[in-house]
Amino acid sequence: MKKKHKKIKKIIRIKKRPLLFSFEEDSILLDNKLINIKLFILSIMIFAFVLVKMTVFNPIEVLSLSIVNDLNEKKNLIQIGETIKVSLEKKKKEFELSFNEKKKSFFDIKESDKFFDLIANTALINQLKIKSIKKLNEDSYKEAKPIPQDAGPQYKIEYDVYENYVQSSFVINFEGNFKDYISFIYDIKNSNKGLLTETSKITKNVNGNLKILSTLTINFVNNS
Amino acid sequence: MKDKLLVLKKNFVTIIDMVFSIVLGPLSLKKEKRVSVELTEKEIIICQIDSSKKTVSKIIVEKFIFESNPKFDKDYISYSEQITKILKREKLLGMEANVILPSSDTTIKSVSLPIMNEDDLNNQISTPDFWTQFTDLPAEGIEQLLEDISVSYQIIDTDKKTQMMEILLVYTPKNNIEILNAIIKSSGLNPTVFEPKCLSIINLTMLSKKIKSKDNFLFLVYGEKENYLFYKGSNKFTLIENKVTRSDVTLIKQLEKLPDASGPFWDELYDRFLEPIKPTIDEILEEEDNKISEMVIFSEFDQNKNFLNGLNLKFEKLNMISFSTFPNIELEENKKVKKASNPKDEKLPLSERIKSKSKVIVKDTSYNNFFDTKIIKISKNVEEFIGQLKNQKNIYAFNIGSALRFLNPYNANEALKCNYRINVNPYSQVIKQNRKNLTLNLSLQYLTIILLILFTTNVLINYPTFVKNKEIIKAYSTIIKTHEDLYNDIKVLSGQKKALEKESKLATRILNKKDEYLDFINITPSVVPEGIEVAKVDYLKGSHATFYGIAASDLDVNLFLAKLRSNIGKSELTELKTLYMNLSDPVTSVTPIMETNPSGEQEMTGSTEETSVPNTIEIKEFIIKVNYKK
Repeated sequence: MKKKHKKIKKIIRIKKRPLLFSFEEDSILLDNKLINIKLFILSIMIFAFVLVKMTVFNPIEVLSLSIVNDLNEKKNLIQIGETIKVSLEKKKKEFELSFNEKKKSFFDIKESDKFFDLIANTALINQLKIKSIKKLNEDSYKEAKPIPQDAGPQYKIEYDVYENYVQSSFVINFEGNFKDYISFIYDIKNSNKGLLTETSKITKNVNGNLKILSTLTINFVNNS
Repeated sequence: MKDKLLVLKKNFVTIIDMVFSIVLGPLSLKKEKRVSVELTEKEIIICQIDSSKKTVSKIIVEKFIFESNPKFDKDYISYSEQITKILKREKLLGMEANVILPSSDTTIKSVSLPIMNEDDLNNQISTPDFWTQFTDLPAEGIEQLLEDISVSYQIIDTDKKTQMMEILLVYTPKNNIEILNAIIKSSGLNPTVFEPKCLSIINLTMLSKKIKSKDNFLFLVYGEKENYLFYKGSNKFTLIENKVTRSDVTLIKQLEKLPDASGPFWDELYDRFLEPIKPTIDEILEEEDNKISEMVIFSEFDQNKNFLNGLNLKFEKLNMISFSTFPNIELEENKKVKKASNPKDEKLPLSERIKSKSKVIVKDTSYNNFFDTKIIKISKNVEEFIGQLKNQKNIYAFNIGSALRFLNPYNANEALKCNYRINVNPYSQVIKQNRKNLTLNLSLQYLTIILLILFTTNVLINYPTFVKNKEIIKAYSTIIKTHEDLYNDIKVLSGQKKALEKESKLATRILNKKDEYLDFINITPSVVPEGIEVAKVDYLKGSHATFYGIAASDLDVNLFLAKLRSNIGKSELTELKTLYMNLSDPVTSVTPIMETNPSGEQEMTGSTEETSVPNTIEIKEFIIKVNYKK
């Protein structure tokens, strides 16, 4: 039987000299861990950027673009509105002043005694005697609504009732001469109060004096 | 299932690798700073090519200084130190090296195998059967032998018709590489490519002559150490080593000292030098499918004129093209006027071609150098180096050829392309993979930095717009609120104004209802004539007033009626009585006669009964109704 000769591998021992450069190791396959980590970081970075871009920047931009025209329009409207507001305030003030002036012509319902003061004082000044004063009625001011064209004979007139104004009717019996009465009438007219004479019966007395029986309507303002 | 998944994963990795290679290949190639190193026990030759400028930038030849006969393993440190000094001086430390291995130390084979993928080919090559079938290695102990050799291969041709592929297989004992690797690495160079010397000169020649890998090519290299015939047929690669003896070399050198190559000396030399090559040049030329019309010759010897002339005479059919390494090498052109070969002849049958050979009388030998075509240039340093050389100029072609090589793990396009890319470094696959990893790692690092800069810049650029947009949105809600508030205010103000206006109008309406009575009373005294005495007045607002009184005459009544009509409204005498008033007796009354005048007004025209009483006064008692003017 032929004997097998085993070859003895010759081992060369090389005295190693420290390397001048740290070249990569030839015999060891480098680990991919670092690449995977970097890929992961890169993916995260790209994802984060896209996320920020898509969820923060872009929606804000889109929203901004969609509202910018409306914003400018509203800014212009505000400018115009301010002018309108100032104008309205001015007009309101004018109306307020005017209304307040007009209100002065009314007696306040809470101060109804002022009406009697006016009548009594004016009569006294003009030497008229007030024989009697009798309140006939008191009601809110009302105005008849326009009658529709197709209204039949049975149509009942409707009224707009204004609670802020109250009308009271009084029957006042005066006595005096005509000259004083005329003077009284002038004074009442000059007081510029909402006084209306509904009826008046002027009769001459036996003594020559006038007996005047007037039904007056007084407009009160109800501020309550 | 598991296999399918593995195949899928592999395909995915291959695709990713291909995609990355497009980008990373050129990057990896650009980072390769290389030199070729030929290290022998006596000297080191370093050559550097600037591939971007396609210029041979450096050739360094340094002889080692040793007192006795040095050996790599014994004087390892001394070699390393001497090389380090050279590298430091030439500023080449840290570069990569293409190490030239003597062709005699390597075995180069061409093997035909069925077409298979790279993995299968790797598996095939690692089997002992492959080696016993395709090489001369003994079957006994083949596994042990395979452990000690370093193998490299390259697929050089694939024929889809025959489903076969031609593989260039190169192997060498690992010992040869390991010692060189250790010395060069410790010197400060990274030897990543180990290439047989023959392939260096073949690559350089093919590049200079623009010969492509599929072209037919016959190339003879001869000299003191490197002797082989390379034949590349249409699908065949043959490298035949010419084992010359020292005496053969001496004979060749002697030939150049003779006046010409003729006679028995040349015949003897040819027989000794080129006849042992199997197949011989003649046999190659006689092959039916050969398309060889020229033979390229490179010699390590600077003087090769007679040898070339001898070959020229011997192979009259072939055009001889001699390559020297550098330009300006003085070679006397030996021109023989000869009829040029007709390319059509190549297609003729062999018998016809043999006949046509007799007609060939004279032909030229073309003398070229590797820098003729300007594919590669020489730097001024190298020009100076050549100028200093007196002889042995041609031997540096191997170093230049080797310096063309790159590791090129991604197989990117090289500026100076080498057809044969054999690397017998035993760790070449690991090095390539590691280089790929490093390049990818570095690229990812750069990419991360670039993207970070880009993203940051993008965010920074867009941030002011973002802030502006956010302010717009913020302002929008404020503006909307302001707008709503303002228009609510306007609405309220408008409402208030309207209400006030309405109230004011109402108040005006209430107040504008004049107390007509005051005017009525005011005007009444002026409308009562002197002959009228009003006893009673009844006033009804908005309707009428009734005057009761007495008048002195009808004329006065008429006058009163007229005045009332003109100042207050339509007057109407509703009753008139005549009264006779005695100062002592009561007055007798008479009923008056009332008539309506044309204008519709009633007037008293007379009385129906009239009694005359001498002591009485006649007065009129009347009632007049006045309707107010509207």
